[in-house]
Amino acid sequence: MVVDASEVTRLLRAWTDGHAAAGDALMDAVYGELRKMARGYLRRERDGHSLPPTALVHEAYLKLVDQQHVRWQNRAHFFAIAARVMRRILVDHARGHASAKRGGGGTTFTLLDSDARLDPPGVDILALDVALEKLAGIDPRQSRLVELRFFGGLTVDEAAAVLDIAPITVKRDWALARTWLYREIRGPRR
Amino acid sequence: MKSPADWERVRELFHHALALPAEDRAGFLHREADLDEATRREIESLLAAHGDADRFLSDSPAARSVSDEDLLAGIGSLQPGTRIGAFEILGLLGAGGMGEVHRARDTRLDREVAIKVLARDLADDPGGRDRFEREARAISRLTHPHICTLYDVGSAEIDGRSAPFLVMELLDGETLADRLRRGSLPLGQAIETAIEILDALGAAHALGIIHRDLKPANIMLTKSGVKLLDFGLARLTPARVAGQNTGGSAADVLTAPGIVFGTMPYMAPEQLRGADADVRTDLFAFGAVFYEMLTGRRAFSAGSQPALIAAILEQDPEPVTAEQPRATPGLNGLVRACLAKDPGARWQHAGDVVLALRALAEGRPPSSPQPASDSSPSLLRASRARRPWPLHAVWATVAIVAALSAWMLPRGSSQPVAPANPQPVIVFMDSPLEGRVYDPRTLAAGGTNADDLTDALRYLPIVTHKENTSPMWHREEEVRQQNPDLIISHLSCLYDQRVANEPAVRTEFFNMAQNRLTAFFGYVASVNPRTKFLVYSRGRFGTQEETWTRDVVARFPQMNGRLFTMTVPGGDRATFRDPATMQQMHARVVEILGLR
Repeated sequence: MVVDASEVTRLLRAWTDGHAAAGDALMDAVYGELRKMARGYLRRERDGHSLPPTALVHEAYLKLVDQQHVRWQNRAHFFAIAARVMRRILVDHARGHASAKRGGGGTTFTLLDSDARLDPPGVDILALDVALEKLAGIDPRQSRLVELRFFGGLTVDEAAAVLDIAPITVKRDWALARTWLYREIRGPRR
Repeated sequence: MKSPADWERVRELFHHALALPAEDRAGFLHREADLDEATRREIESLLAAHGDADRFLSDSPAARSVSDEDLLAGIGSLQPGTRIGAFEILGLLGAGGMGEVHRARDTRLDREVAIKVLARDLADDPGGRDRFEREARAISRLTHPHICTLYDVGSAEIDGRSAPFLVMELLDGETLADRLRRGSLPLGQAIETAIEILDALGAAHALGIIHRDLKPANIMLTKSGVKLLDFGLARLTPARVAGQNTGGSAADVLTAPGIVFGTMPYMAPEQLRGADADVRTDLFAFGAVFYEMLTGRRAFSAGSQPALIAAILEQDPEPVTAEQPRATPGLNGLVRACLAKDPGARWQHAGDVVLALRALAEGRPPSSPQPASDSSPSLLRASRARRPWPLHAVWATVAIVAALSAWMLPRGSSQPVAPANPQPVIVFMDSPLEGRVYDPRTLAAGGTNADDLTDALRYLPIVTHKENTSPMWHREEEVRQQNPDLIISHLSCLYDQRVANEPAVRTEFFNMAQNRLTAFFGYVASVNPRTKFLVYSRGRFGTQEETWTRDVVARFPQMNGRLFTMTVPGGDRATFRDPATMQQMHARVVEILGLR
């Protein structure tokens, strides 16, 4: 897929203005590009000390968005959508890993060859994904917040800016969402 | 099927209960008379899970780093046995930010060398080959016992691209980065290593060569001491946009293509701002590396890229004495002077730092850094301890949680009223870039609006807080806790200089900023019923002022009668120094607060 900056910029603006369909097209573009960039990084840029996927997100922003023609809000939206993309990449990665274990011929993209690297300790990404869907049914904003914080690596203040709520609310939501998800995945305490 | 819990109530009471001691929670929930059984059980279940969930999801995969080994596994574009010119590849040694390093044999001289293949295609870049060779020639003039010698440069067809490569001295040892993974260095060794690094930097600087990318991964520890790698290499690759562009800023770095992200913790503020690097830029990086050798911790670290930039631009690291008990205050001062935000307030020459370090090691009092001769005293102030950037206000007390909950639940009667201050408290808000963030222009101009306003009001019986904050930083809670009687703010105090130059963005930003300002005021007004607000603006925003005031009061009726405006000539901060404007402000504050 050829990604054209002016097209992505157009989609981003349309999506910010409330055209939901543009969001899907935008996500496809960002997803394809992030995936490609992740691979490219592995081939070329091996600084060796840190390669946070959020770095890819920042770079993708520059690459995909024509900075002259976006508003401040567009930028926040881009980072928000990128968090969703990271979620998808990680979930796909986890699925690929799971299907490989079952002996299935997975063609799913994996970000890194060494599987352990992307699985945070103690978190089953697939279970988390399912639980997040369920949480979205109860409290969409909290589900979104977890996406931004956990998959996008955004700080409290950054998430607050994206969601347009006060950091204090972010902290409260984060505490409750985390607890809810933990209980959902691990089961209630006995 | 049991009835579903009322989520709104769950949200509200979960936090309420959490603020109470564990043993009081059950009682609290039972006292909520209108609480149905399902909701109460849900809250209890969540409260029970809360303790265990404490660390859950705290380790974001996005914030985790990936190590060399993972990235190197099975990758390498050159297989052993491949010939590049006179060099035969023997095996992959490792990879740096700029490419792969291979062990190779120089078949002409029959010696082993290291070949670094840069991740760059010269064919993409007309004139690039000449520039590459010219720069490389300059670097190859560097011969120093503590600098890895560059033997040769060339280019080769690899993977269909014209890849430049460098032939270097093959070193045996480990990088400082590897060493630091095992913790800090003993004090004596740290100082010895630091002196060798400085010697090498000094020699290069004398030839007019700046390293630009000094970091632990570029410092090799060998049997014969330190060897600095990749001198000036940052210039040879397109990866380091930050050190090269001219009008850029931190925002550019964030989004610059091909930036080597791992390097950022050692980048100097001026590099982040897009200024070109000089000797002092290297000395800043040296300071960050030295700090890490002494303490085992990064001088600057943060969970995200923007937060890291903010840390480098604004924060002073903890004193080294906090982590290295044998370090003296003198050593701490020396490191701090390396890490001064303003290059003018830093050490100016590597040799000076060596002298000071030797003096310290021998127990003599060190000299202080000699700032650049053209630095004004106001620039020197910048090197003094600055308040670390408060990412979010700390507000842990039960009382505040209760007060906040009371505000969030519209129940009216339980809202506490902040006690009256013995003397009126005034909080000044200022623009983020010119106020809180260290900015030479602000210092050169003699201070911020808040400084001038304090001056204008100095004879009044009031307490002032120069918060130099802005609603943009989401510091409502902090401002609220100061219990202000009056908040004084510029209507455009959210101005961001970076966007202010583009008219379209500017309007957009301005609108958003005003909304944010309104929300900020609305919040403080709701919680502190005594607080009044004075917004001043430039003459040309005068017409907007009225509309804005109306909008604000429509959104937050509690601000009715508490929002005051004032038009000042020009609107530039300098205007507050003219006696007429000072008097005008003085009179307005006296009137609003009813002082006399």
